[in-house]
Amino acid sequence: MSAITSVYSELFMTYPTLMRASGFFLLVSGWGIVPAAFSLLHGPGPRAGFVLAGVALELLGFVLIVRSHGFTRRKKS
Amino acid sequence: MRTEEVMKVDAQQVLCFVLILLAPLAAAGLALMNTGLGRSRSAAHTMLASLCMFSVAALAYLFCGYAIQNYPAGSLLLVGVKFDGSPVSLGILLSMLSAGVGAMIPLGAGADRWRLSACCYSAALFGGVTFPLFAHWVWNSGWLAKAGFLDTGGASTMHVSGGMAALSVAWLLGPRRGKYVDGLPAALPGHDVVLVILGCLLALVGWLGLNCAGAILYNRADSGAVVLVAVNTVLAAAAATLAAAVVTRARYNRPDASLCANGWTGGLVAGSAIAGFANPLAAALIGLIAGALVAVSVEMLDLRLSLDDPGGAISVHGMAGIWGLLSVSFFAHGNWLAQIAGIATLLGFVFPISYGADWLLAICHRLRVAPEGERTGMDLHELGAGAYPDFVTHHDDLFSR
Repeated sequence: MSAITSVYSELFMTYPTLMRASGFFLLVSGWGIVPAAFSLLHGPGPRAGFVLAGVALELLGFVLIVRSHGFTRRKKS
Repeated sequence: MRTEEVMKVDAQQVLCFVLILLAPLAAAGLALMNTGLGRSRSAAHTMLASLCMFSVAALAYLFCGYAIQNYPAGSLLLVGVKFDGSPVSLGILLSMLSAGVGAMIPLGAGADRWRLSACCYSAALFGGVTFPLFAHWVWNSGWLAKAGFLDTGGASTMHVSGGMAALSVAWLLGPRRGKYVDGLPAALPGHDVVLVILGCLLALVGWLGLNCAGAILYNRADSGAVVLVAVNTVLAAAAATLAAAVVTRARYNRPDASLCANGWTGGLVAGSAIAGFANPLAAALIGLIAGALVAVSVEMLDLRLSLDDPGGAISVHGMAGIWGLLSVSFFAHGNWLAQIAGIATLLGFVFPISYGADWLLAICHRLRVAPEGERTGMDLHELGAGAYPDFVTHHDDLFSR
């Protein structure tokens, strides 16, 4: 677990811009699933599942962006 | 149509027009709040930037915003639109004012360091692209409207969109000089709480106009239902202020005036989402939660995420707006999936657009004022004169940090 944490921190410290770009990629990809679910799926169950999956992906991307900004700030100070 | 029906429609249109005329007071309130919560040496700059952002956003809406919002029927430069008091022409006026108010929101996050020219570019993007595109989806039979997304007061189109733009501005600009010393936040209180509270009271009038006019235009509310919208708006703001006062009293042993003002505005924002659909008790409850959320979130963003947001725009417009949109599904029998889809669109589409545009702008045009300008104040550096020439300048206000 600590190895994963250290790799995670190392990634953010070394490539904050790349992590931020990945975050935005996830954010936009997650959103793409939401309108697609509304236009392609008709049952309430599958539609809800896909929308929630899209939102989860967006949240993951948002966390990456927040973390990358935090690391950049710490690096600067 | 019978004579009585014609008169009823006309009266409804006149009422809507009068209500829309109150909307500029929301802009005045926001400008005063942002100015009061900033430093005295940037007061004139913040007021002028508010005015410029409102103007640029309204012009950008005229240039291409209307065409985007009303695609495919819309036209560039409002060509071919008949201004005859019809719902279409009233909708144009309401949208133009909403774009102006929404464009001013990020100024709260960028106060004391955001250059005037960069503010205007950001407002042009908001009024010309972001706002109309989202408004098309929500108000003009776009995919969100078809999915059942409800927002007649502009909580999503104006406030959360503005909050997302504020978040990107706060991140790209970075904190004010001296805000974080060795990683710990320093208190940089607003310079005039009286302006802030006056702004809150003016904003209430503007919000009443925006919410009621939105309910008539987008929810086809009649005169009786408009009264409920007004009652809900007031109750949400009142409950939010009390919640913010209680939370700050519990945390700091006394109520904090600026956080209570933020709570009031947060209540108004949350109320925008639900005013047309909820009952008064639900509106008060939603306001109560919004006020507490704003008070906690301002502190959390400052301490945990090191986000310097002098006006609290991210919490007030972003967080409270998202809460308001979510609460429609709990308290007003809205379609929860559609509400979540709307919030997901704000986070996954509006935020990246705002951030990307400001980031591109930052590459070719400096967003942040030079360190010297921040030290002497935005008024002197960018405008050449201060807002309060007769004031005695305190030593630590000019030379500290």
